[in-house]
Amino acid sequence: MKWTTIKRHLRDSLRSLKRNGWMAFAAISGVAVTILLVGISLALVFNVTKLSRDVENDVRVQVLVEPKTTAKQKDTLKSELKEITGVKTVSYSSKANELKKVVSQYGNSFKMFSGDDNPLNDVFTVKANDPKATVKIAKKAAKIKHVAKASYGGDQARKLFRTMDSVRNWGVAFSVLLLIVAIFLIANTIRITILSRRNEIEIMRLVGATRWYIRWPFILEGAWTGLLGAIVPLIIIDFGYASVYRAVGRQLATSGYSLMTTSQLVWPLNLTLLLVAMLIGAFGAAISMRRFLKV
Amino acid sequence: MLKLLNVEKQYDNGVSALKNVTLTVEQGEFVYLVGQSGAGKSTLIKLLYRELIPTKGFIQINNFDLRQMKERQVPQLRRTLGVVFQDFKLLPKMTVAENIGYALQVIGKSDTEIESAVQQVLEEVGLAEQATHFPDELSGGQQQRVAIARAIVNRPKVLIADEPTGNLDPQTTEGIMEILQRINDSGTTIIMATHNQQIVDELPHRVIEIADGQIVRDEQGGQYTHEVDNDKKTSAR
Repeated sequence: MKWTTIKRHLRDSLRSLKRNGWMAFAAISGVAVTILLVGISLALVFNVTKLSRDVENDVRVQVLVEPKTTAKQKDTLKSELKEITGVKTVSYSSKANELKKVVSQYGNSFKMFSGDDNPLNDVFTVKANDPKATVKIAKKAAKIKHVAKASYGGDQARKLFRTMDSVRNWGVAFSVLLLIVAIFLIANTIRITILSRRNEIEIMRLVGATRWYIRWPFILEGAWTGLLGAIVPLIIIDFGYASVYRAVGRQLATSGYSLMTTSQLVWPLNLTLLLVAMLIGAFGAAISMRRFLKV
Repeated sequence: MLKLLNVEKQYDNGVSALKNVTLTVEQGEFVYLVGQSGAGKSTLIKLLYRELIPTKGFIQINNFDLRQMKERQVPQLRRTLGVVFQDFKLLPKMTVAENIGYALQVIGKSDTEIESAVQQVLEEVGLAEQATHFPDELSGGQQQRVAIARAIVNRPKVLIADEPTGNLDPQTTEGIMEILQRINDSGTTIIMATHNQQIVDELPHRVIEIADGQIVRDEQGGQYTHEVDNDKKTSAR
């Protein structure tokens, strides 16, 4: 294609968008609504995926050491724990340290347990390479000498894995469904705008325009419709997410988890949605005008 | 130039619109197609710019074989023809100049070429002042002149007009016919379907009458109605 032709198509598509004011507005609004829905659900899916990964990675075995175990015995215990297959890291926290955590979470009233009154155990925290190996590691750890108890949350962990899995799967399914709905909605809106312009296509054919010459401005116009339609919902999603992140993010942080940061989420999401909206717009236009190009 | 040999057109619903039409038109001729509504004039016109494909027979225009040609060659054929309609068929969202220029745009002319060609043709049809207007800001006669300007801007060998004055008052019609005559004088073949008796009688050219899908009269310098018919009418009075 010649450069002048490309320029002409670009110019024609923009001009036609401007001159078809209300129809273009209708199509752009249709795109905006669907992109908003798709954007929100994608933001949810991304975050659920991240959180579930966080939780999965965070599952660990708490190995409580029997009281009155000597420092030397603890060293042996640590190396024994490290030798269990599938163990990634083993870290130690004294019972005084554990109490500090309790105080910081639940308040100063727990300070009364400090010193000799401390009922807590010294703790080895064992992390697994693969979260799913946690159960086996816990069982093996429980059998080692000087271990009072090895807990991994047991059924709770297993339930959590299952819930996270299904949340993620449903989220993805929902987004895919929404995207399909979006394709139909956008394609249909564009179809209506093109339907009202079938005379235009007829006249173009009449003066000897080739099919592709007729098609390009419409396809580009579809892409612009997608682009313009995506801008407003993306701004809403970006600002909306930023405030959700500020509000929810802080609460989550105390439990050791975090949402995706605004910059982590916003750029990939914006680019994906802009591209998707433009492609759907262009495809919608191409499909909608197919039958008007037949003789 | 333009040849039809035993052309038949049957629509999908079984209606036979044209039967065994044979016809030759030489370069530079002005031909009126007359006949009652439903006689087959519009079908014949549509066959000429290949909006329809004949069921049988042979059609050749400007060295294109219309029955054998491939779909992708149709734009090439149409660039050698100018077509004008009763309802003007202008693009409503384009200005007068853009409407006319579009016919040149699609064949890849540069903006400067388009500008000068459009300016020239607008002067020919007397609308130089209206270049930046939109079609709905013009009268019917002016819109038809824009349509004619678009049809002739790339200097086609043949201009096909389907009832070009059908929507216009007598005075405007006269202006349109003057323009068409000038175009014909410059060597362009004109084939014009019409119901307007006055035009045909006052501006005599070759008359082809179609009735029931067949050519019933082909007369050089003929009248709208056949002389025998006229005699009958006179004697009936």
